[in-house]
Amino acid sequence: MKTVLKLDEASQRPLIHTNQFPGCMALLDTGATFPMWTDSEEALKALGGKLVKDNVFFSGFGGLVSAKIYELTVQLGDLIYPHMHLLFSQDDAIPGHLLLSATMFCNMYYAIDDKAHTLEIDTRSHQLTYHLKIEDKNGRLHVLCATGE
Amino acid sequence: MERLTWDEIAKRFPMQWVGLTDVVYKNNDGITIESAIVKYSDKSKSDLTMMVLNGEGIVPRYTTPNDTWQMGTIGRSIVK
Repeated sequence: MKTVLKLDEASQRPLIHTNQFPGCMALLDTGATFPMWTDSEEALKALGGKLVKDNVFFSGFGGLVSAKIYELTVQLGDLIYPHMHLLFSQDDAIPGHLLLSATMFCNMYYAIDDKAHTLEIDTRSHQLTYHLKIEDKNGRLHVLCATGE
Repeated sequence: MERLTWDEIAKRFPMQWVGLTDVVYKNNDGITIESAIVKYSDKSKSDLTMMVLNGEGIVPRYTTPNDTWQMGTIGRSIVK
């Protein structure tokens, strides 16, 4: 199943729309393991986000960071991630409301065409729903990603 | 309130979130802003999002997105 999403031509980085609310922007970060909500917790809850776990730690370039795991249903084009786990870490300097991680596209083909300003996603299956969970085992976070019916 | 191109908006209101109205998209693509009217330039990302969720018809966007932090770094709240 293929879906093609338009990228913001004014940005050098891959920014797309998602369906959370009008004007909701998501930054594709192929270096990221965990999807992330970077707007406020108030907005996350208003969109139906539910707290899964508080006070988890993960590492980035800045060092060890404390965050919360929430679940939120996210839709990218025709792809749906019901009750997807994502980290909450508010940051106004990030040019989007959501950070899309590489793990959201496990077992898929996805390509950024910077000239045509598109993000093409080919799931290579007939699946439209994908389940992504963040698990905390012995203080280490990792992602589980599976197709869903 | 005057209509500005996206480049003008980014120059006049650099490195901040703006709330836009009367947005014209390039080639009608629904994402690349060609021009708009800046209704809010003094609000945070969260402020603008909550305004949208409460029904205000604005488009929130961050200006000058090409020269902020590097490749997937999330680490402003350094624990140790």
